[in-house]
Amino acid sequence: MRADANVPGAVACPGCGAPVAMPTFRLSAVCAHCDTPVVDAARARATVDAVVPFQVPRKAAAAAIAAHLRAHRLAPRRIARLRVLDRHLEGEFMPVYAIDGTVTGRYEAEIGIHYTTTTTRRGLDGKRRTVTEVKTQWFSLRGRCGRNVEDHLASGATILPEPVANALKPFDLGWAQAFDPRLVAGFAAYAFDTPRDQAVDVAHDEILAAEARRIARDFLPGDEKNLASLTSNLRIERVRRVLVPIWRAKVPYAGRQLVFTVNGQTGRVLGKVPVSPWKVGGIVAAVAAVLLYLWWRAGG
Amino acid sequence: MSRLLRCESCGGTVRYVVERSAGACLFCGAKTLTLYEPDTPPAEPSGIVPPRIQPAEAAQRFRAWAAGSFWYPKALREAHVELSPLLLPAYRLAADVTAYYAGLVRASTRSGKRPVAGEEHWHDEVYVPASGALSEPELAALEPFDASEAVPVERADALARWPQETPQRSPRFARARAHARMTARAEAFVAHERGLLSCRVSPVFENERFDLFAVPIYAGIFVHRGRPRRLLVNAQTGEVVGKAPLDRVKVTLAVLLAAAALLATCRLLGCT
Repeated sequence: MRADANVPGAVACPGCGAPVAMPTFRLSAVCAHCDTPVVDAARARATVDAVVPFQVPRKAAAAAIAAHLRAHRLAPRRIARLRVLDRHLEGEFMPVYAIDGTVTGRYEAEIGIHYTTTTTRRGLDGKRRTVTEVKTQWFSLRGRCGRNVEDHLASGATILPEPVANALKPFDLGWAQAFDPRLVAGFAAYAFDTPRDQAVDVAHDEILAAEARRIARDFLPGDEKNLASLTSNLRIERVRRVLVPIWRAKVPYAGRQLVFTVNGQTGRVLGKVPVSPWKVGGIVAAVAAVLLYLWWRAGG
Repeated sequence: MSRLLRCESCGGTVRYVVERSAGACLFCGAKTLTLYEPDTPPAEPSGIVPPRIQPAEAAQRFRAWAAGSFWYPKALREAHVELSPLLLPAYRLAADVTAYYAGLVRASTRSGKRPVAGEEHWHDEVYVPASGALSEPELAALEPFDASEAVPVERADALARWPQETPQRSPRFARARAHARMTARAEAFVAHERGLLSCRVSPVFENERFDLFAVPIYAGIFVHRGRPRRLLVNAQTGEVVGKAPLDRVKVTLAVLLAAAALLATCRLLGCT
């Protein structure tokens, strides 16, 4: 629905027909004349494979943030009474690359298995004592490993830093639908600005690092384990460009804004909650007082 | 366009069938049903598993279950619970599994064990319920279902008119569940086949095939002390699933008797 070839990046408003400037990093906007939500459907259809619709309504997102604030015992008392209003929340669709693939690898590891030995020794007093010792027998183990990777998410835009994209998981991409302007209208939908290859490279490193952790912690047998080497290979089978829903809340508090992000599908809340210096000070003072008392009882 | 009946109390959603749709929710008995047309029609099952157990036999199984414990109240034994036929959605995932394993085996070493690693290949199939109205423990207790007897929807006229819950879990979600189940089965299988003391499996699933089936159950509501309780019967195996109430009078008497017996024993032994 490009309005005018002479106005680059402008989309015609479906309400009043006025050209609406659409920044390159956005796929949706609001008409400045009549407040109608406008979606750059042509560009979105060309760059987005699927959209995960919101499952957490605005009110539920506000309630999730309120619960998140109340759960922080060290937060100032005023925080628990903070009201998250509808106008503090903005629904956004973030671009992510969803990667499916298979990791296979070969490993070499040292496996330690504990066993006990019991020996009887004569002590200095001449009495015989039985001593039980736990020892470790070490073995070398070589083998292969593998797993399917499903919907590993990598950020598709600079507005969504990779650590935030990872922290927002999980999303059930099974509910993703083909792009439809009605799904994103009224929300801020961001465009992909990270090249696919760059995102895949980042995901590749994340997946292989996670695989090494999984093999070392969960897969290898024995009481002690030492992963000597792991050569793994990721075969990427599918990369989808998906818009995932989040609620972003900017809540005014003590002259500044607290920013929270809510997963629009699961209601999971991310965001730092301020800590009360009085509460922290009180705990530190109490611990110090107990330690001082114990020290004094022990004779200084 | 298919119309759906959604219960506003429990969220249970079934396809609307004029001659079958009752005035109350089949999952919770509430009368808060809303008829609506979804924007996108729900996924159609590729087959319907026919019941092996007829309603009369299901009712008999329920009565046997209700009389199965001394602690169940008389009201449950004498209750007339109407068991309604219902089709639940379930995904079947079939896949070729390559299981890379590592574990410990008995050996004549100082520790009595040594580590081993290897790989096994086989074909596996698991069923994952896609119901949203029933709880996970209920669904687990209802299993297994055998979809090898499934008939295509177009050849299951009578069954297609049973109330049918629409899938509430996406295939993607079900796939993750199916992989977890296949992994657990692979660990048990490899440990048994290879005689391992402990075993971890790192599986790769290939040539996956997903099918949606509708599996038959009977569902009924039993109201005890004003609280509705759900009773389910697997229409293939006849397994009855439900949380039966306990007879409060019997439990109270048993506690009092046990306390009296304890006191009497103490007196006899001269405890102070």
